[in-house]
Amino acid sequence: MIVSWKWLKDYIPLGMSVAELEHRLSMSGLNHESTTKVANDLAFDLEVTSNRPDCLGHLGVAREISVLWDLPLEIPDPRPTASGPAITDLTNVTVECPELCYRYTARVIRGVEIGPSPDWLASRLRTIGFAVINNVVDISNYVLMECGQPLHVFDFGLLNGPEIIVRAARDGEEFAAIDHRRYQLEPGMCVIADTQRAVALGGVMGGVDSEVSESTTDLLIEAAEFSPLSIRNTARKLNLHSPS
Amino acid sequence: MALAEFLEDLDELADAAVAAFAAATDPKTLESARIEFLGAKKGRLKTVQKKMGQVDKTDRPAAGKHFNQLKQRIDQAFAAARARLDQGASPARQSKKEPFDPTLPGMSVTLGRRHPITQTIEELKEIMGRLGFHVADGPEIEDAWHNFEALNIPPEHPARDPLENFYLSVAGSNDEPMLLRSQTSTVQIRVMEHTPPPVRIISLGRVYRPDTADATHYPMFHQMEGLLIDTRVTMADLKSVLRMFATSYLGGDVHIRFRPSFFPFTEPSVEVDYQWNDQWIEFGGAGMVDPNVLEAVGYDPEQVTGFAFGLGVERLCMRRHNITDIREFYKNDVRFLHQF
Repeated sequence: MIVSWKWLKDYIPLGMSVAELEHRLSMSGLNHESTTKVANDLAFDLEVTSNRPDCLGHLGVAREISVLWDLPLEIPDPRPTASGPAITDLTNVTVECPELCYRYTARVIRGVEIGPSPDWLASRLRTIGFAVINNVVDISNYVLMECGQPLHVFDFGLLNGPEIIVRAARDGEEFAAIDHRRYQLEPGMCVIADTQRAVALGGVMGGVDSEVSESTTDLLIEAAEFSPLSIRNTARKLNLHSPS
Repeated sequence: MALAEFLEDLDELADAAVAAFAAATDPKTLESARIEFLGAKKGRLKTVQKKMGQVDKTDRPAAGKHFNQLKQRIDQAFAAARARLDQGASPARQSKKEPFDPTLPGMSVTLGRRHPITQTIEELKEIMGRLGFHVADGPEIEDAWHNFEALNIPPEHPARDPLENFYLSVAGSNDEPMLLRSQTSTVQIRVMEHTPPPVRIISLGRVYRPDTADATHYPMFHQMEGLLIDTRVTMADLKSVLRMFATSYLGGDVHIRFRPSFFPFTEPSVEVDYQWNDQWIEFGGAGMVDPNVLEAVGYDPEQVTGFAFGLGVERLCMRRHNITDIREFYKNDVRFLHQF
């Protein structure tokens, strides 16, 4: 996993030398593999072993560093104010397969304008090797690499209902992913659907017909927890892999 | 064509052939003469033979008879010339033969040598033997229980992925999947299953992982596995054993360091480095045996503890002999192998 020096500094003061940081991280379990200079930032490639999922994100790595050097850790505490109608007036979420999806949360943001991300955001994503697309996609990638929680964003206007139903796929159900290919689903796969069709494969990939585009004005943001086994089996069977 | 003409050509040819054979003074000249006259495609005899078709029908029997007679004559002349040259050669050769010189060195016999990997394995067995470890062996084809489940790798773990292992297309006796073992830790399990503690073994052998072959990776390589189970075994014992091993193998006072890591079958797990010329170089992985593994083989984790370690044999051999490409070991090039 790649982390950015400048980004880490948001959470923790990095007073030590680069070499010292590399060495101590290796000696504490985050094996340092390489450091690359990208623009005027540094990208560290760290090996995160499978018993340390807490380090899959800049906050996790910053936490490690704060413990190693006894430095104060600043975790962002965003509290956005909600306005407008209650979300329950706008949509509904039902989880029909709790064994495939442990928890599903959704928020709606209306009246957005899709455009390019600010420079600081774009350069951080580039440092860690992510493609810069548009403000919404970039934000969801940023959050993933900040705290390790994957998000998915739907075009709220393209959801039928509009509501979200988390259910098992029907045998042979067809799904068009954002890679513009059609897939045949099987019953073990966890599907995010609206009232009419599957709009995403839980934890694997979003659907192309609910994808955020330049004309999107309303968003539904998903933050959810899916069964790791289901994600892996689905991804392997369909050969669909993504950073999330 | 008139018979007389044909016969004339034949006689001329036969005389020329006999003369040529008689005149040959060495095998080379004789051979060229033979090709000229008796050659299967363009020999002059053949050419004349073809002309026989142009002789009047009634004369053909006579022509044929004469032809055969002359061919025989030419053949005999050739055989005589050949015999003469062969005989003539030997006395000449013999007279040039030198007397036997007993002071010359004899012809040496090329001796076979052991493969460098084999030599390394033998040395490792010897070093660990002095530290009290016995050698254990296990099959290279394993079932999923020994290679994964007993090593605390549950059914859905990515380490079991077909992309990470060579699974066999035939199932085992109980219909379970069989694979080429991906680590020698399987031998730990086999030993512990059948032996009560204390256990002190090493196992050296081939393991298989689907890796593209390059200078530092190969789909088949060798590992040395060490296991020690007893009451009150600690990580300090692990470090001591590894340090003694490193010192024995590398010579001089070698220091070892541990870096935290993760393997499903050890807890805690470490990666081991040794120090060489102010550089830390990777040795292998190690750790205290996970209680789940002890339970899987029927030991009581409250009574016994143990450590295990795994080292790459090729890596050690390449270090000792300054070999830079792991593929050299498997090319079977004698020019490489006989240097060891």
